[in-house]
Amino acid sequence: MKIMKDIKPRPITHAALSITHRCNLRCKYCYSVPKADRDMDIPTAYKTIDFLNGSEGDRITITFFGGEPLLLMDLMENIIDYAWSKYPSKFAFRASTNGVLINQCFLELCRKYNMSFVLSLDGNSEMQNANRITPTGKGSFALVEKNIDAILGFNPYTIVVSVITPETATLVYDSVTWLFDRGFKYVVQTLDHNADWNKNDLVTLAKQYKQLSRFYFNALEEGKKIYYSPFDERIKTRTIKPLQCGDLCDLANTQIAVAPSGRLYPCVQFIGNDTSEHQKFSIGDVFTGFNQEKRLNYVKENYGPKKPCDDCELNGRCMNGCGCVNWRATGKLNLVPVVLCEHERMLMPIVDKLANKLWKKNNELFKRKFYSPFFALSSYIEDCAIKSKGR
Amino acid sequence: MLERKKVTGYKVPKYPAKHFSRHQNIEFIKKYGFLGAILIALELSCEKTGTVGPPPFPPEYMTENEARQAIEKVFADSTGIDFQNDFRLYIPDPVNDTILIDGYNDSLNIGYEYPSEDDSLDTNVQTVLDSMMQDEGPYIKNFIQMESSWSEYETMLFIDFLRGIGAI
Repeated sequence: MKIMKDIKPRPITHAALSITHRCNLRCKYCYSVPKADRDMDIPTAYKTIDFLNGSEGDRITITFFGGEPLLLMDLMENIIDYAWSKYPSKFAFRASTNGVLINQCFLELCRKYNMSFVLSLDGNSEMQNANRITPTGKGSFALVEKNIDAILGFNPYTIVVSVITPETATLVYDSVTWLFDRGFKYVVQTLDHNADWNKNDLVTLAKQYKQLSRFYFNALEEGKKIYYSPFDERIKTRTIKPLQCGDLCDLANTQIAVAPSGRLYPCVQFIGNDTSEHQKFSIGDVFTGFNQEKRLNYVKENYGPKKPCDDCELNGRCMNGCGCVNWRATGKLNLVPVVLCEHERMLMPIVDKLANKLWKKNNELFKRKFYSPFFALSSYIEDCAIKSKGR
Repeated sequence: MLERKKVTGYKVPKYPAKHFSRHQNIEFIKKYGFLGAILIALELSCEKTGTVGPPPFPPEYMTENEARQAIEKVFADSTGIDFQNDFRLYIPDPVNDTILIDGYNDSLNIGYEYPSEDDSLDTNVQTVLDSMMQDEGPYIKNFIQMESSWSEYETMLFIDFLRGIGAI
């Protein structure tokens, strides 16, 4: 990974607004537990927008986060109204939701304000219910599944974020194929790096990835445009460029998080329940501004070399560059979790074998997807053309 | 027991490592003709905050001003070379006209262009510039669209190219 020499904080481009600590689920791997009751109040929300507007960047994307932000739909609308009326064109809005509360009212809000959202959904019922449970301990699959048609009707390109734990490693193939069969096109999947992984779990997971690589190969051969982050992101590190500092995670720098109290944190993963235990990680607040020294220390540490990756041949291709993931698992931004290192060493050859095969097969979609800078747009136009033809 | 371990002797993948280059605009237009030109025009001008776009993580390209600052900073830091901004450069036949480029160093015959909505090189100009790059210059890099995290990398590639041919 290439290290930047001259490190100075840059203008904020992304801010995650944790508008509430409350949540209607109790996912076993969640980093925001234990749940406190605090919501962001309106004066703090407005002050947050004013504070962010003071950042030098031309445009800032705000992601409503939580807890579960859809518990406060009115507040979301209030914040957007305030931001757009006071600072036209400075802000774009997104949300990150568990999908339970998605309804026509929320989708109308999204349409009205041109807002998209990311859906946290682990996969099929078995995988979802294993970890994503309600406060009474019941699985949440049915609560989300009933909303999927409406979600895809609103935006067929909705991104699904799924988490793998050792307990669900055997379910990955079935879950991912279920998501694609259900109509999703974009699946972002990651490990719970804090879980207690062992060699056998990773052997199991490797088998699942190998099965998925055959599924992915066949999908591309059939011309199906799917995105699966464990494969796509690693192929891109070869066909486009190796990862640089800040590509995966630019915590405390261009990306920051705001707690319901108005305290600023390097990333949502640092907020916790925002009590004194976590406040030591805060980098300021929206009322008095950044503690620049603390902020810069985070940025410098995050941009520093990752341990022990210096001469590793996968450096630049491996996903070792997320300081938040490293910090949560090891307590240090630049110390990579053991399971991440093992996982990358296991996954990269599977991904490269898949890409070699697609290249050898002269797969047209593979070439377009990974070598054409216009794929995103040409693909979208193609989709629109197919859709209008079907009408 | 899981462990952290450096990888050595990793088998180089057979699928090519390829970086976006200035040629791709032209290649794309050649391949897709008029439709390709329209797509490029749309790509240059479209607002990427819509809710129904296909890219999972829509790229956020730098504005012309941001790109100019980033490119010139990398040049200044790595080579000490400065550019004159908005330089009018004569392009020989078949263009036979002058074009305004974003940065140019007259004594070294090197420069760059970063296209924006109102300011991009047409394909004839680009073709001539490409042939000049293969020849004796001037060496003008068309950076196409860049995301900010790529700017240092892309600029260093250009600097490496210029060093490789002895232009700087």
